Amino acid sequence: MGSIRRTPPRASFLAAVLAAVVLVLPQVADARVTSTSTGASAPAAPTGLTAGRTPTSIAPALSWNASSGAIGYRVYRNGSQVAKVTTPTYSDSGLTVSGSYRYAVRSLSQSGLLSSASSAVTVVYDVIAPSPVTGLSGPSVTNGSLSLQWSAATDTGGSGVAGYNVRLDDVYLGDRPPPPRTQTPAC
Amino acid sequence: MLTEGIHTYQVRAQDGAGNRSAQYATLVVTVDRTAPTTPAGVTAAASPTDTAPALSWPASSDSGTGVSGYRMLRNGVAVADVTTTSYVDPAAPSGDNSYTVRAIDRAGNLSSASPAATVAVDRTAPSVPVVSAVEGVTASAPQIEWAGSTDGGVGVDHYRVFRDGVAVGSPTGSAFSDGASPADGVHGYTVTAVDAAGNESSPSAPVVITLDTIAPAAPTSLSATSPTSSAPRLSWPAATDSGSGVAGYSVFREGVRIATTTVTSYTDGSLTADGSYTYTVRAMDAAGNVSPSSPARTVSYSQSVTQAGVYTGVSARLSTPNTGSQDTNFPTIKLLSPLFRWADLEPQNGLFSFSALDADIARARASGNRLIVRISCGADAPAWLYGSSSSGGRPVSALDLISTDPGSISGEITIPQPWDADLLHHYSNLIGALQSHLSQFGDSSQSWRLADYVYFVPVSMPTEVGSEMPLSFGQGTYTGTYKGRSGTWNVHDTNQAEWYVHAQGATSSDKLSWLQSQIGQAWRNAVDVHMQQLTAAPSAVAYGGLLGDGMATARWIAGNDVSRYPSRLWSMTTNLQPNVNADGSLGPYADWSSAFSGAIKLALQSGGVVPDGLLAQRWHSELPDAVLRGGAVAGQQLQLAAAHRQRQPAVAAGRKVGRLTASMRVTGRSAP
Repeated sequence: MGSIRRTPPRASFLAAVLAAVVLVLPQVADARVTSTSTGASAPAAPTGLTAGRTPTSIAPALSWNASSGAIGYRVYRNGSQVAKVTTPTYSDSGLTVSGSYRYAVRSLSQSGLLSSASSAVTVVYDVIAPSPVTGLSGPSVTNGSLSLQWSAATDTGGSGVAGYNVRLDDVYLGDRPPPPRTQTPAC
Repeated sequence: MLTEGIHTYQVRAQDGAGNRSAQYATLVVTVDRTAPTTPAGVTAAASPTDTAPALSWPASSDSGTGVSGYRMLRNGVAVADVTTTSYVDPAAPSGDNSYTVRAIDRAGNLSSASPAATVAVDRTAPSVPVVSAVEGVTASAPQIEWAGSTDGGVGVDHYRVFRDGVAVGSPTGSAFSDGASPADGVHGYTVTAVDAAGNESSPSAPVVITLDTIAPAAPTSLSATSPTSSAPRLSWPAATDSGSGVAGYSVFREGVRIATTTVTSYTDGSLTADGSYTYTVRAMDAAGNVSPSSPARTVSYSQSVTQAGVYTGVSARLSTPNTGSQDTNFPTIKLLSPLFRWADLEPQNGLFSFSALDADIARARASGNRLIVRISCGADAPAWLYGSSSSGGRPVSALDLISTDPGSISGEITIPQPWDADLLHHYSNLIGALQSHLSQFGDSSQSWRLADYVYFVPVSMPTEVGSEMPLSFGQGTYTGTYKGRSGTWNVHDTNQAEWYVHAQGATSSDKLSWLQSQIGQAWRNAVDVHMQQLTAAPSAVAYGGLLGDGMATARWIAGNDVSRYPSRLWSMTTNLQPNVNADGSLGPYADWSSAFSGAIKLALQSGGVVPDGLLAQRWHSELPDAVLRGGAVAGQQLQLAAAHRQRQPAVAAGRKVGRLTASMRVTGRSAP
């Protein structure tokens, strides 16, 4: 506030920087696996499980490496199977509530055996918008540069406020990361 | 760059998942880069000033956000931002201050500086005037003047004059005439100095002026003897004045002012023709107001008398004889009597210098006049007389006299004594040389007349400085020492005779008890000594100082000495040192000399005798007869009245040079 500086235009986009949250998934027990201990051996667990962007406000897009000999896969969210797929991809469109979700997959062999669970990935699913910006202030009149200030917004969706969109005369100027909130837009 | 105008900023938040706030927060910003108009100029309420400079200026305009205020600059440095179009600068330093102003708009744009206004600040008062009154007492508008004040700042602008504490004027010069007609009485005036910034000095010390516009009352009467043959003497009662007091009187003759005087009498010695003259007198007060005229007084004046047998003349002497106002061309005077100092005629023993005398004789002959030559050998006798070597082995014993007389004799003087044989020796040499020198001028068949134009009356008795032998001295104490004998006199009849008595061994107490006749006898003894010692020359004795107690002594001279020494020329001289009035006319002594002349005339006409035992105050009735008793006088015509009148200018001139005196001489020749 009060800092009136003339600065060069800034067109670069300031990407949000988010800290990764690492969750430790518990081992998933599978009765079928544990019950077929003779005959053909169990297939290997799938590898390379990824969940796409996180946090995300759309259905998490899972993918993993195809397992040789597998005829299908089972997808688990928070330990519960949510889908059977034959290809190593899955889009979880069943989410409705924002939150943090743990995913793992198993492969199914032709002999009907399930592999052990893959390494888990966690996806933050957030469909709640941040609170509106309040307390926007700045000079009503200026003959040069100006500074705008506003109060920090809050976000209850789990991903946190990553930045702010600033428009001048309905033209998008760019995003501003949360800290600091005092910025000098180009003008 | 934002363009000038109105702009809208909007801000919303975005979370990490890409969700954005539902609404934008909005802020409207006006961008204005155009400065306001420059203020047209700063106006100072007053300059110079002794207080905080007050400044104002016309409002500026701004096309953008509008004028929000002004920035005041003193000597280029901002001193204040104000929202109004005026400013008072309480912190302005003394001296010249230049003020400019810049307009500010809401966006902060500053206009250029306005044209400047300069304000001279002066908080120091001028110096206090020093006032004096032109006249402390005045009949018209009181006037004061003063020495100009100085001011270390912007300079004195004017003065303020206060009469009795009330301002009555604001002159720019250093003088003031209070023409506001204050009431008669005493007024105090003070003056202050005010500089251009309005600083006022402390009041001057007051001067007091008395205003008096009321004239004195006229003298209620005017008296004078009429008819009269002497100068009319006017007298009047004192006038009164209610204001500043009577300061003097103006005397008018035939309506023309002839004199002013501070006393209530006046003698008009300026008449030159017989006739009837009307006088009036007006009183003047100290403020210059003049009263109406007194009642008039007309005097019939007639004084022309022609008489034979007596010479009168004017002698005038200066410290250096025969120069200055000695007028040898005096038209109606036929005998002139220059007085020479012995030292001038004989500067060294036996070395004579008669050139000055010769010049006088030449001038007298050219104008048909004659001279009576007198020689003083008193206290101004040549110094060489007292030195044994310079006097050829015959030094003169002198009387050392110390006098407290505040008049003609004061201090210590040295006077040779007439009976001193050495003095008579040197004096006889001088007279012999003079007689020889004067014989060249013509007939000297008469023993007392050395030449046709020169009559020789040596001052044969030692006297005081420059005077002939006095028959009295003034008041005072005299202490004399002669040949080791000393004594003190404290009497007013001290004279040469007393010194002679003293030399004979009398004590001072003896002298105090002597009668006038005894003093006269002693005097005659002194004359005897002198006369008998100077028989070789055609000498005579000159007497002077016929005033006071000298008059009584003169009676003895007239009654005895003149007859005892026939064929001698006697010279009776009285000093005429009248008071000279401001207008040049003569004071009381003019009356006295007139009476003297009149007594001479009376004696000449009546052939009267000298009664014995006359009082000194009656001397004038006997002296002329005494002169006559000596026998015939030369048959010269004399216009006594003319002489009396014409003497006056010489007297006036004498007063100017200070050391000139005039004397009237009556000269007769005793019978053979």
